[in-house]
Amino acid sequence: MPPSDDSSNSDAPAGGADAQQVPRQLQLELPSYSGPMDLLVDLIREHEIDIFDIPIALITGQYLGHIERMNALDLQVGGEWLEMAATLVYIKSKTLLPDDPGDDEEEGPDPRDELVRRLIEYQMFKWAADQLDERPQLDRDFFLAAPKAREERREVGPPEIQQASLFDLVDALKRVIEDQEEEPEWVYEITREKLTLRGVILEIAGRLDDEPRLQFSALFADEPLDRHRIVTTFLALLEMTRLDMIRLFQPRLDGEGREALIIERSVIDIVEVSQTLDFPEPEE
Amino acid sequence: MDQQEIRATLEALLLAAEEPVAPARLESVFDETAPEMIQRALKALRLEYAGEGRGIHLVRIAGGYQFRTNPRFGDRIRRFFESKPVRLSRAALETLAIIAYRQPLPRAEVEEVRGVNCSGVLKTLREYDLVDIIGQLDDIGKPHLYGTTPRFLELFGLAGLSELPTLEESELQALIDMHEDVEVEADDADIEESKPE
Repeated sequence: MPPSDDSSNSDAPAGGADAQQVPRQLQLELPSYSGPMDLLVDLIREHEIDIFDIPIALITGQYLGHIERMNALDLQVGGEWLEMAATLVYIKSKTLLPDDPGDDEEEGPDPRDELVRRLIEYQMFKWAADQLDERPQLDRDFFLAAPKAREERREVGPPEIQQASLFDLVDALKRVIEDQEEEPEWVYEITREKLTLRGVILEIAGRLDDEPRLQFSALFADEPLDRHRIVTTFLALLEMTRLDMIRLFQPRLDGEGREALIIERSVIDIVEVSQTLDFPEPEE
Repeated sequence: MDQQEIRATLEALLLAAEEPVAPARLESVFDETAPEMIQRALKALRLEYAGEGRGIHLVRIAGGYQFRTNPRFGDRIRRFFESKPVRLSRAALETLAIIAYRQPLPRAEVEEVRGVNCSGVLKTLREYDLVDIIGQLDDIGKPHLYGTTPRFLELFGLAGLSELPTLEESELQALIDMHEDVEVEADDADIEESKPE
């Protein structure tokens, strides 16, 4: 991120965190996992656990702890996270039950087996995914001369457009506000929209999912303009830039009138990515 | 047509082509030239466009031939275009990997491995033409079967799926073998393996 003045950079995670009066040491930054399996694999690695002898109580505790933290941050804990929690608790309860020596029907397999199988399988595909990612990739490492390729490359950003700075973003905001000058609807804060940072990010992501590039002003085209929306959109764009989900471009064509700021997605599954974002939603 | 002439023709064809060109397609342009001659010229051309000293490589992609830049110069080319690469997220990479190795497979199987809902990633991967529906499972609800596309091979510069590293190459395979041994022992006492619907 370009300029950070005296406001310290440690309160990065999300706007609105201050409003919740969270004591500093409780502000957690959670690493983002692509799912429950990802978290489990990470826990096992972190604790150097033998995968064939998983201390299920420890892992369950750690896992539930993570979910609690997600909850504390008002993250949406999806069903799959709870499903895995239920599985873990079930396995734990099974291992806690004493083997009834008289009842040989209970003499089943280790209740952890299925989990172990899934963990190994998942890790294997994680490995395969890394292998893919390490390969030279079209339009990242190698390029084509063909016209088709040239067309696709344009999506990545033609040379005459430059990456926008924070000031370009502020300018663009100003212009949007100025363009709306004649509408003095500024003051109606009575029925304030229920906008959340997360909501706005999802909204922007949804639009970028349809088309890879958007004009900045298009974000405000169909919405009533009020301060709350402008500020939230501004924060959303900053956050998305920080997370490398989008890039902002300012065309600098040597004309007098400045071209509109352009927002471009930099990950193809932007909706997916924004749905997994970890940050709090301020309560109204 | 002599060997030199064939080679130059192929060179021109491949530069003008938009997609990897299959050998048969290249052959179709020549009359009365033995396919072996063309194959030889192609081989010579490949040797010519190879190695770290060349800026352009001729490679086998998705069953055809294609000119592409030497990956060694990726940074400079991106600098030239002032562009950053579009990245695939981890979710997308994981999903692609599962499909690439297990295809054809229904969505449910991808989700079983990843432990999360994958409809969003799958939709995006389809939009980008990296995976596609390649069939239907003859089961309740006729679930779609997914597979990777030629575009997937092109993106990762693969001649074919067989060029992917086999999963056995990961050290994890040893773990799996160990685990299967353990399971075999366990299976003797257990017939519960068949999954509930």
